[in-house]
Amino acid sequence: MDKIFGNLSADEAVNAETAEMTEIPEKECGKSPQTGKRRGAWKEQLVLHSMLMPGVIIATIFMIVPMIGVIMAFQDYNIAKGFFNSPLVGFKHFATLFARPNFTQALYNTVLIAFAKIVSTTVLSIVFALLINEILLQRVKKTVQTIMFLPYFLSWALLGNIIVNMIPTRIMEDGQWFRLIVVATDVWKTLGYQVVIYLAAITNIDPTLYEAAKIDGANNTQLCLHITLPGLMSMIVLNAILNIGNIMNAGFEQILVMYNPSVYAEGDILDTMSYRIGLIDGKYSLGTAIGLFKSLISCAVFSLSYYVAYKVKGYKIF
Amino acid sequence: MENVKIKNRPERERPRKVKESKARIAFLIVNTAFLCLFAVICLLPFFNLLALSLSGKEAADADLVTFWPVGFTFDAYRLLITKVQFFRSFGISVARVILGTFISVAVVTLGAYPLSRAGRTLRGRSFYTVFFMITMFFSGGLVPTYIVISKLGLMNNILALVLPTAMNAWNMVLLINFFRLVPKEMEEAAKMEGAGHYTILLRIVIPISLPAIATVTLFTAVQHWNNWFDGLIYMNADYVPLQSYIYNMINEQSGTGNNVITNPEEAAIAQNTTIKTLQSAQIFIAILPILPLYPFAQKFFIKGLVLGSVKE
Amino acid sequence: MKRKLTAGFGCAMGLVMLCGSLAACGPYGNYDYEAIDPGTLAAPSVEFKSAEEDPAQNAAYRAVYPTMKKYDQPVTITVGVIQYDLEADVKVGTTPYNQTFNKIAEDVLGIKLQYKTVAASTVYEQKLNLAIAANDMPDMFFTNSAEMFTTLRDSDMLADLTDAYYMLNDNLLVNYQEYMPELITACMKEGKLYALPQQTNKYTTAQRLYLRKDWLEIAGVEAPTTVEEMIAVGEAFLAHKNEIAAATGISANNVIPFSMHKDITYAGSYSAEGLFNAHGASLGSFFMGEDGQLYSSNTSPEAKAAVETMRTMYQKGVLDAEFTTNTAAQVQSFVSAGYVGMVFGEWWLPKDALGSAVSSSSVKGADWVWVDLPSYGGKESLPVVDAMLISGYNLVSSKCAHPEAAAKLINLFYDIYYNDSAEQLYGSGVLPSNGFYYQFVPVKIWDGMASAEEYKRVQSVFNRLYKDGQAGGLNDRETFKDGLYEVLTQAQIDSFTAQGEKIYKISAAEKGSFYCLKRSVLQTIYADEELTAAFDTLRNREKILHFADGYPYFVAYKRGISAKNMTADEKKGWGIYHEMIDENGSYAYVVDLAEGKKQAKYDEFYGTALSSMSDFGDYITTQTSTYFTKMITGKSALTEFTAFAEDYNRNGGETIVKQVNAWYTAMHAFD
Repeated sequence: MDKIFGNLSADEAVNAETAEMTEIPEKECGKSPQTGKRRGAWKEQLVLHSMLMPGVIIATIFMIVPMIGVIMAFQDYNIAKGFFNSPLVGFKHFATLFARPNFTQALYNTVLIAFAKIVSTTVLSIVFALLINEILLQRVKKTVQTIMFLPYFLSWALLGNIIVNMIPTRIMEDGQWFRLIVVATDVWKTLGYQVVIYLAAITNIDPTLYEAAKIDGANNTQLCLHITLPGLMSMIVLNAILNIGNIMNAGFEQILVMYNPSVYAEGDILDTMSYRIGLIDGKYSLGTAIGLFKSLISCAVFSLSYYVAYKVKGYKIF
Repeated sequence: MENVKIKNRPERERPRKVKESKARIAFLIVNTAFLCLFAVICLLPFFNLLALSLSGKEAADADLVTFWPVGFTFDAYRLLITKVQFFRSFGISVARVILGTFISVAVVTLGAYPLSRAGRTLRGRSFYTVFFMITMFFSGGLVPTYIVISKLGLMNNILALVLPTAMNAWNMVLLINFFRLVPKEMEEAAKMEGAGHYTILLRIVIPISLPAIATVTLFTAVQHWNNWFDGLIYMNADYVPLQSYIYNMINEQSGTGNNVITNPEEAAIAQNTTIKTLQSAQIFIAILPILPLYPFAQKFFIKGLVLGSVKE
Repeated sequence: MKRKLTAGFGCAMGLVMLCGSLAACGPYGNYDYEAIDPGTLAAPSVEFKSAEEDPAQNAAYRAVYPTMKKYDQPVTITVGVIQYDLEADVKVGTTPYNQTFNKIAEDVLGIKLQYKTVAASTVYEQKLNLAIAANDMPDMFFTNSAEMFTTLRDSDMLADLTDAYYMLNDNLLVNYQEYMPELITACMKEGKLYALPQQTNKYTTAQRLYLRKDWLEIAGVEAPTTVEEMIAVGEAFLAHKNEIAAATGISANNVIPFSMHKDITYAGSYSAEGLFNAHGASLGSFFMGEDGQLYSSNTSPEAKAAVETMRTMYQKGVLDAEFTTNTAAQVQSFVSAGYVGMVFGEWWLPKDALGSAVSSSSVKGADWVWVDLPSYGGKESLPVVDAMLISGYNLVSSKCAHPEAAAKLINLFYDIYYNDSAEQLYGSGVLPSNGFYYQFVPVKIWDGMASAEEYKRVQSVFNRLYKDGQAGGLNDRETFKDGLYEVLTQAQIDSFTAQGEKIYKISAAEKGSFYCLKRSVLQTIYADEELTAAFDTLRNREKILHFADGYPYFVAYKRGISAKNMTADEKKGWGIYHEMIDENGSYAYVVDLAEGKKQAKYDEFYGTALSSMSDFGDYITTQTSTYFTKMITGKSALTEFTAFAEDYNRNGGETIVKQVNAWYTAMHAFD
């Protein structure tokens, strides 16, 4: 999900002209304006809605319809009986889940690791973008940028192995170090991608601002603090909102390939737990319950941050 | 399309004539050196992979290989090219990337356009917003999705790999934001001339947003190239895409002592390869096609973001 | 319920990834903590006697329960199958869809096979699960998953296979009835049989200690018989690491006296299982206590003793300091690379990593010796095996109109695979080179006792061929030192065959030609009646697997040449020889156990996970790993074991033990 970014330079994002989805009163939309253009307007709506149809149809078939499956979280799901005939058990699976001795620990680990990843990725990618921007040799700049992007293409199954082999065992066995390594390697992997986005946004800042500031006698540090950073703000906020939706995703693949028995306590996250419950021990319903729990939290956190960003600053992404 | 040309703004000129302070020069040197070093670190796993794929069995098994091949040999690659399945899977992956990317980008672009229009142009906008947002956070999980695909008769059909992910709300968000940046004046002018929404999308919005679309295309393509699990589930073993094939190869455990290689020729090559070198070779080949795409797309990438400053 | 490392691990990972937000996996778990009543199987309407025992009675029996009666009208059966990689001797391009078995089944039995679920082994079970959930299950298929079997059985989705069972051929029936009746009981519920289980020799999982013989000699120590001695041997290896390095050509830093992989709760080779067994423990197992109740081995004093031993070994540097990150595959590669002095494992290690170390060109003079588990505390140590071991189930959907077809297919496969005259019976389609691949046969039962027979037969054949090195025997090392293969073109093969010569194709070589057993050697054999008689006692497959690969080594070995002085082609046979052919080979142990010459200790719980296990098993296994690993590496004190035992019992362990005991009572109610 980190592959999302938008481009909202501050002034445009706040542009009152653009759509304000949270504020469109449905009633008003329902009322057809009684003007001579009525037929034309109807036709225009048809055209616009027709454009949305392919997406809506595909999403309905392949995403919305399967959501019936969520019901498994509230059933003792039985493959023979299927979704419609398995007995409903209410919140039993959630109760089981919360009663599990290692659930709280896994939840804590998940949020901690995910939060550390989000914050450090954001901060470091801005720092790196600023640093790279300072490289004067264009060729070096481009090359560095391109190379930093490469790890993004490698899968954790592969990278995890390489890392485990490189780092001494006694460090991997220490819970605190383990978390640190998980965060650091993840940042390293995604950094290049984020940097490119910020670099592009920096290029986007109006050069006349710098010239004006220079004439006023600003030095490089001041330019950076007072022009570049504010210019990046909308991008930073946008990224932050989008990333916060990942607060429950601490990196399942990565941890699964990197952890070892000594760090189960510090390294276990909801996904690895659900993997062991769902697949090794084999339970549809409980696995689904964990997934649903995760989705709900992510969605709530995302909506909240979106709402706050919109209310306070007028930022919007949809 | 000719009427819209994206002007490439020249790189920001730095006032080089101004004499830099010594501290500044020192900073620049240290900075550049540091970043170059960091870039090298990013390359290490690739070197490791390449070195491993070119190393002999014993060195690989003994974990002697770091960034330079030990016991240099092409045997892993030689053994690889004897595998018919590898090439068939490669072909399926290519087909999937082309078809999947095309469909997905088309769907997302079409959908992003109405949603990018100013507030009241599209009625029921908030419905769509909520609808697509739901798909961003919730999914029915594997079993129900499988049932849908199997009931549609898409098993062992490349569409099963292509359609379910075709509508990507995250990419749509990206495009919506880009489309909003298209200068209003151009659209107004087109409207005056009686152009409809499809015409505006095709003639104005898409050409101007081409860089953004290229970005979405790149990521969709990478995603299709790297996805492996759906291939395993929806395709029969003969027709799995490349990454699924590689996944199978890495994870299938042989060596319960009951299967020996009885073909002496294969055995001769195999003697100097090990699962590690073979895997490295296959993985290396598998990431190769995606690598050259990136620098190419990067150009668009930057342009796409530069676009915001095109103000007539 | 010992866990084994399987490929399932990885695909499981993928499953969760795909459904990222909603990991929905594994359909199992009934919540009442009760056991299943197996009941008694309805007796056949005619009493069974094998053809050997009583031909007349057998004929009467077979009139009612024919093994391979052809259907008058062809019936279509949908099946699922794992698409394994082709082995080298199978015709290139063979797939489940085009394999010759399909045609034979249709011609001989009137069964049309239709392939519904075809997947690589990594996702086969998942695909089946999905097909089941989508109500799209094939009529017949094979699964390794006990959970899948119980779930389907308890959901009434399986057909009663009692009749099919009685239709199995004599060999299979005799094996079940005489050697493994508990397998059938385990697949029953209330008097009905819901699966035809794979026949497995349960002793194949018995652990032994494998040691580098050359290291022992360098260090001047004997193979250990007690745990204390074993630690001492490890220390001796460590003390002599420079000599070992110099003699074998590895670096002294790479000398690992003892190695095992990180998943200490998993059994299998290269694991800690052997060490636990040596102390009388086995994680995840349930033993019969003196009070007649089953207890969990995890919390037993024996497990603690094993942990203490490992802790000592770790402190002394005998146990690989990096074991906590080593996967089984990594340990395997260390052993192959000649780094490891001692390792625990099952019988098949010689042909696996041990053989690789011997034939490796970068390790000098590697040789191995194996011994029974070292004793501890003055008590003899016994390997722990499951009281019953089912490695897979042939299942038939309750929607299938012809459940007995499963037995017919199984018998047909048996006839093709184990019968020397299969080619005469069913035509050349039974040859791998024409497109027959045993892995692609959708339902089959391996003869559970075949390996033991094969083991003895191959041994005696080799001895007869060798004739004690006397003239007239097949014993000239010069003949064999470059291996037993030669390349022949199809044209050559045809012309030789036309002249009445027997040719054994081993595998395809360059276009249109094949690797075959050396004709000169075959001619020598067939020129001599005694040799011919001996040689033809070998089955087709054995001629290729054992004779072609193992005989050159056997000759050199008998001639007193040590492995390090052999040619590369001879060395290759080390593993197969010392595993299956040598009378003191590693498989001998399995045979001795099966014949009761050696003793084993039994894990009394077998079968599928009970509901309490799926509820609490995850936590308990994780805790066991964490606590034990920390105690071994010295991160926590040994006294933590008490805390662990409390944690274990409080968080589900007690419930599990209770349920296991209830299960045991139910299973043995009919004894």
